[in-house]
Amino acid sequence: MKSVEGKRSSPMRMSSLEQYRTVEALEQYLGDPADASNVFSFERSVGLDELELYPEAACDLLERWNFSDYYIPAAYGGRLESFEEFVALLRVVARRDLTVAIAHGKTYLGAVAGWVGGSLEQRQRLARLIKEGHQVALGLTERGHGSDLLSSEVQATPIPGGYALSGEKWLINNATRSRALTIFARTDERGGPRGFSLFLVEKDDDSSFTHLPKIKTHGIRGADISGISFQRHTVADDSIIGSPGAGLEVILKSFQLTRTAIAGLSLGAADTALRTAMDFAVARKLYGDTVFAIPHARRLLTDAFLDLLTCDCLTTGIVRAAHVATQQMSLWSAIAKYFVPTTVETLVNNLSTVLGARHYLRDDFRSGIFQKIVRDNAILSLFDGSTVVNLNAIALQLKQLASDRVKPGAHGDESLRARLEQIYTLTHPLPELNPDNLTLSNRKPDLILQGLETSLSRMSAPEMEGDVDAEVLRHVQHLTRALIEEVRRLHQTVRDFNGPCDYASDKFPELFEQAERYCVLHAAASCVHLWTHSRERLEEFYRGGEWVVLALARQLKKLRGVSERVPAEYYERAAEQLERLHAERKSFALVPLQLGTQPCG
Amino acid sequence: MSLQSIQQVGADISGAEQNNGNSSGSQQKPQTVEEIQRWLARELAAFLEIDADEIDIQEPFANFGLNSIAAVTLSGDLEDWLGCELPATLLWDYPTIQVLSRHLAEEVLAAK
Repeated sequence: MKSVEGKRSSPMRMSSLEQYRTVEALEQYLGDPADASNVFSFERSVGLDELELYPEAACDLLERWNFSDYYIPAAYGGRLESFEEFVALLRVVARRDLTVAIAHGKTYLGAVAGWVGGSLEQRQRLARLIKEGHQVALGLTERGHGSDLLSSEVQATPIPGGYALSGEKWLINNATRSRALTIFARTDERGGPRGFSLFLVEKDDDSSFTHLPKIKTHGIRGADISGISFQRHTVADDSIIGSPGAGLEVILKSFQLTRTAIAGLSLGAADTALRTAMDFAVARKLYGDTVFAIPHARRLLTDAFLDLLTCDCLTTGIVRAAHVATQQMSLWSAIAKYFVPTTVETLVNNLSTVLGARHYLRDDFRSGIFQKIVRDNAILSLFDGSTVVNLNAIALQLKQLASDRVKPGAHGDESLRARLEQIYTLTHPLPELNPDNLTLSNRKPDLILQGLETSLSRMSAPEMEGDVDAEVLRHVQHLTRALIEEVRRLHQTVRDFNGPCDYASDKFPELFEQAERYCVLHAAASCVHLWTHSRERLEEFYRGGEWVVLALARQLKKLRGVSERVPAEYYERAAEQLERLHAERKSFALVPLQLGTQPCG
Repeated sequence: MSLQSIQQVGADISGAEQNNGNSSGSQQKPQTVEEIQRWLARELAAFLEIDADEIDIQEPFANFGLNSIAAVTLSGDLEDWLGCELPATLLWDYPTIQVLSRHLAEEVLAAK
């Protein structure tokens, strides 16, 4: 990053938030993707996708910017300190091309188990490999087993001084291109949650492994989705990550970070989908006016904008919460991984309606990037734990979350107030994220939902009452009370649930439905918290709060089935904000970043 | 020990109030390894929708269809019941009712 900063004099007004400085620098460095002469352009991305070719040039650009440094924690010589910054960086890449974000970002997924459970020596080894420009992959899944990790067949047999690996890993991102892989293998014939271990495997000159052919996929067609087969490939004792039998525990903890990061990828894709639809809607004349002037289309686009803001609030809250309350991430990462990709899928589908025939084109309008997003985005709800896996993880925690000791209305709790402030005040510095604090199950009350009462009380503060339009404030207060009521109702429903018990959530669609509702409540709560804690730092439209009214009303409609009454002019001003961000080439976000307008590099 | 325990567990369950597995903090804390066994058998029986006397305390939890993540949840419920912090992976390391209840009796009850 530092190497390129000097080259450019930036005329853009930079965001004043520290955590976005580097993010904006990357955005400017990569330039305007709509400019076909750019190395990292929509046209190139779509072209490579057509030919199913790996995005070498775009990955090289990222390498030159030292993007890989963000895969390595600062303690091991990298630049990964703020998870918030890291996810925002991924979002910048994802808005251009999910194939590149996934192909390049894969190295973080390959290395994360080392950061979570590895030895000092392994971490240094990983850092060295990444610094040398090598890719690291994760060899987890197998043909025929999918998410059922404990059925994995790849075997690690003890031999003097180490282990011999045998078997096949399939559907592995960068299996072929990687220099090293983290491999999940059976170390106890009987299997079980302590029967598997992770190994850091470097591909040396040894001929004891073979790569499997690239697999044809619906989206991210240029990515190296392949596999690797080991034939008694030997690894030394010190290749085992953590203790023997720690494999499942380490990988499940690691997923709490990667699942959260995937929400960032989804947000990037959503930005481009909405931008492409807006490009069309403001330029296209139909029946004597623009598409954006047609009330139905205008509403659809504004709703997409509001949902994107809601996902933005949810993700921002959780990436920051990862630093503040790391031990709750088993719950929050599942919420982010469920809510954001599924919401973005719906959003993108709705935008197809606005684009009409153009959403279907693999050419012409914006080089056909929209149809690529539709295909690429579908992978996000699949990998790193599918939608069902994540809902199950939430459902399993519901009883605990709804138990009597959790009081959704409790306020006046200083530590709750302090932690909410740390998470949702965007200028507040974050404590270090220590992966040792990750745990497989959240044993604490969910401070994000529990904090609704705290944020509600903030709304009565004199500075708020003096600064926010009284009608807006009344609406937000009313809707926040409705959310608190819905939290209580959900807790009661879960407590009253007469299923045999909560260990079998996958057998009970009712619990899945409650888990979905729980995520909706979370998303809405995130909007309330961010607004009440950071509004002074936000630009005028966001400070005003009308968007909070609209966003909450949309989420509450999902819970109650009936629409809340919201003033029509709020919608109109949200549409104007969308139009303004689009015209000024800023990201559709709570903290809008100036988008790259220059040629690349 | 095993057969006797199973029968004992069964006898206790048949007379016990219907709990439906929704057991948490409100119950009395256990004093003996047998009480812990009964609690676990009852939870598992409720999950499986079978009688607690059909539960073999030497059978690994996984063989009852309790997956690894659900096992983490059960460890949380145990935590609530016993009123102390337990590792999330407790049931992974003590994979049968028999070894788990012995461990808890040693570690947890002794600490009280």
